[in-house]
Amino acid sequence: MKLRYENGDKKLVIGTNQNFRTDAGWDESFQTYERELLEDLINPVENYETCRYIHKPYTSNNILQSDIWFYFYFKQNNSYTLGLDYFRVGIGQSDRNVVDLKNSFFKLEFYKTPNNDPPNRQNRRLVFSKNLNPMIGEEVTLTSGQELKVPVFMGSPFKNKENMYLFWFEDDSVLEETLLTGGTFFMTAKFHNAYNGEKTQFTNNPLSDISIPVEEEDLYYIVEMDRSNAPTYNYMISEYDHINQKTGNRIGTSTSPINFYEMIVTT
Amino acid sequence: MIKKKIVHPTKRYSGSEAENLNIKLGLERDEQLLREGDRTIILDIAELYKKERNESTKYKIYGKSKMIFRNLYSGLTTYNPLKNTLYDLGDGLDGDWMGYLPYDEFAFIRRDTVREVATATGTTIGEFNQTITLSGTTDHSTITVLDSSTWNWNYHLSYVYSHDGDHPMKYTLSGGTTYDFTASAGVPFRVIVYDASYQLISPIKHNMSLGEFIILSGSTMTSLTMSERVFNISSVGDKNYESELYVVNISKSEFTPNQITIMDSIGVVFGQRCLDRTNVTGTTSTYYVHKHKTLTTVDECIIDNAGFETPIFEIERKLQFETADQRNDVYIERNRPESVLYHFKNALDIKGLRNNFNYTPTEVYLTTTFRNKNGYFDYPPRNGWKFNFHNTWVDNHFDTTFSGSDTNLPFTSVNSSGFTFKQGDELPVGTELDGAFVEYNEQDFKETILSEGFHKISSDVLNFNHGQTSTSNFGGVSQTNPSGLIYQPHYRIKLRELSPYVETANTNNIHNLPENVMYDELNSVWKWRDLYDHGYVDPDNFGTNHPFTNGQHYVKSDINFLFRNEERFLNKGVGIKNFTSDTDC
Repeated sequence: MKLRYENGDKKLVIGTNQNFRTDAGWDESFQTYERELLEDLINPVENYETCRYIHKPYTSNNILQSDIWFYFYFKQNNSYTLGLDYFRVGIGQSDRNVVDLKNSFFKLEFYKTPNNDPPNRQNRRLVFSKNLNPMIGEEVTLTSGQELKVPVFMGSPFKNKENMYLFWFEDDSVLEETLLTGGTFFMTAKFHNAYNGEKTQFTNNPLSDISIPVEEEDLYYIVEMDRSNAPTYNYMISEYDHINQKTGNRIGTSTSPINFYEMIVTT
Repeated sequence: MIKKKIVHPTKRYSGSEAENLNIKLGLERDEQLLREGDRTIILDIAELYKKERNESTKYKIYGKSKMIFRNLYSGLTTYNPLKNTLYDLGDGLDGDWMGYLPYDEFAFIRRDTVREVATATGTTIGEFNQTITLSGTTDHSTITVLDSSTWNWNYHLSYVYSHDGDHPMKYTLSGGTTYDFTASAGVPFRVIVYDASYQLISPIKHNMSLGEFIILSGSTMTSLTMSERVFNISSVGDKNYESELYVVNISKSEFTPNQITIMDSIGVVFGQRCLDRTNVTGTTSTYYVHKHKTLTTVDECIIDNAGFETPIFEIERKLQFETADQRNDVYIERNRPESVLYHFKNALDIKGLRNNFNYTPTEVYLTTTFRNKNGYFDYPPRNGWKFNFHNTWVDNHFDTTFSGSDTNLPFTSVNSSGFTFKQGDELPVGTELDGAFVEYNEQDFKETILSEGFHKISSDVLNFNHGQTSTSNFGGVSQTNPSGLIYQPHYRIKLRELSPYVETANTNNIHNLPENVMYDELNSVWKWRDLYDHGYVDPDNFGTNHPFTNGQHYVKSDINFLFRNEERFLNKGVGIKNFTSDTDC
């Protein structure tokens, strides 16, 4: 409030019934503050429940289905030809050696990056992983009649469900203020070999031994989760264009499986 | 605030003089600023948890549903896709294609799905030549794995939003004598005439006690005034165990000669419970049917196998030597006891919902409806109550021409090879369904479920004939009223508990009364039942203690889903076995 200088007397008229109520709202505000502080400090209610995501349904052979297919190619002599074979990494399938197969596994790793930037070892963060056990992989029957497990995996709601379902938050508000919100992930794979204890990285395309893999380009597929309930929570896996940061063709279907290739680099 | 009055000086007293007035306005105030220590808060995590728990209105509903069923109707069909899949009574060599419907027609999760099957061959190690083919039949319909859990049965959550006392009902005796009434008429009783008394036998629990009164109606009895139809219950029960729940005895001395004439020939009366014959209006129970409204869509519920669990009943299966389409060694199941998990993906928020008494519901229902997507059954299902099921005859209540039993579930008719199949459609949120038959008494201040609601489905005789319209199999059946299968669609799931005791208050301060309060005009008091806190269970086991985390209550409810054959299930009569039989009527 300002009083301007003017000739003449000044009068300040104050209503006789004026109540300034400088305390107005204090109590209520304080109670609100108190409640908010308590809720923040102690046991804040947050939803950590995870739920099941199925592979996004697609039509194949005129049938709507959600089967997912993974192929893992091992490399030998700089070639992936006839690479769907565990013996290439030393694992035989005789009765005596099958324990090595049982104890080995493929590990699918799911990463997130800030703003879904192309992933690399500096910016990626592992959020969850999923193991594929060779014993619930596909079998091939050779002409000789021999049946062998091969590094090919199928998952569906009918069979080998554990190969297909992913579990993630239905409400990721608990991850706010972190880099983990959103439904976009980058997936790569490793093979943990019980025969020799080695861990092998896989790439998303066949590389020659002398090629130097570019992490953003060669290691990952992109996974996008959809919570729109159509028909239920689901995810879709696609090729990843790291230059334009876009999704490419959908993969994982029976006609277009997810191919991973063993990475061997000779320097 | 201090009230001050300023009086002009000339008005203060007679002859007072005008003078200047000065008022000192002090800006000081009584309140003090908060000092440290004024607000000492003890951080009590248990207290905060309790507060959050009781304020949360979100409920995650899940549990197991076990199918309790035996497939007992064997019949014939001329529809080839069905004929080829029947569980035949013979081995197929005799050319007799009478058989049972395959269990997949009743299954929670069908297994006869069409799906891709892969086989791989190779000539050398490392070679992988994969061939993908389709498995499963598409002769009648194409059921994918994704459809398999919603093709036959659909799960919804529902709540009772209203009730209807005018719902039309029928009650049929063995000879086909049918009594029409509305729900508000009360409990149907068969009348047994004795020399000095009338014995009234109800097919459902009547919820009446010695010392109370019964108001009778029906036939010409209804034309009398209500006060003339109030009778003292002289005793309940007879010589049988638990018969007090079903039998009411009234002395003939209560009746006028004219009433005795009516009662001696009436056959069936309808009774309403009355607590005080001097205040009939205020103490007589009302009777009605619950009206449900669905809260979820089909896709909001996930149905899956419950791990490795199976019920104790055996799988009835065989390798059919030859089927009607001359396939050999075909695996077929007549019964496959199932145990499935149901899980509603989204938490149900009951905030804003109002039940039939206009307060937040304390229970919701798992509503299971037969979808009939293959269309082998007539659709929609018929609706009825326990008193509509008899051991050896069908109740006319279920006649397709009677609107009172029509569930009005939506369906689509499909024609194929000269046959008509009525395929059930998905129920949208807000679909209305009939529920239990209920008594409510203002003095008790509670609802009593007299009979749950039931759905009945029957095979269309043109699609599958197992004698459902043959009176030699079951009395009273006809083309419009065949026998069939019975299930209870609504299973109650308790979210919260109201106190078993009634609180009363005589107050004008209605602002702080709970939302379930009602004014008792008879006693001039407000009445309500306390809402028990979550986590509190009283010594009589009233209360709820659902796990609470993630800001929501996790409510687990396991259900034995009884799916009964109307013709063969012989325990649906009055009371318990050997108590009495309504075949005598």
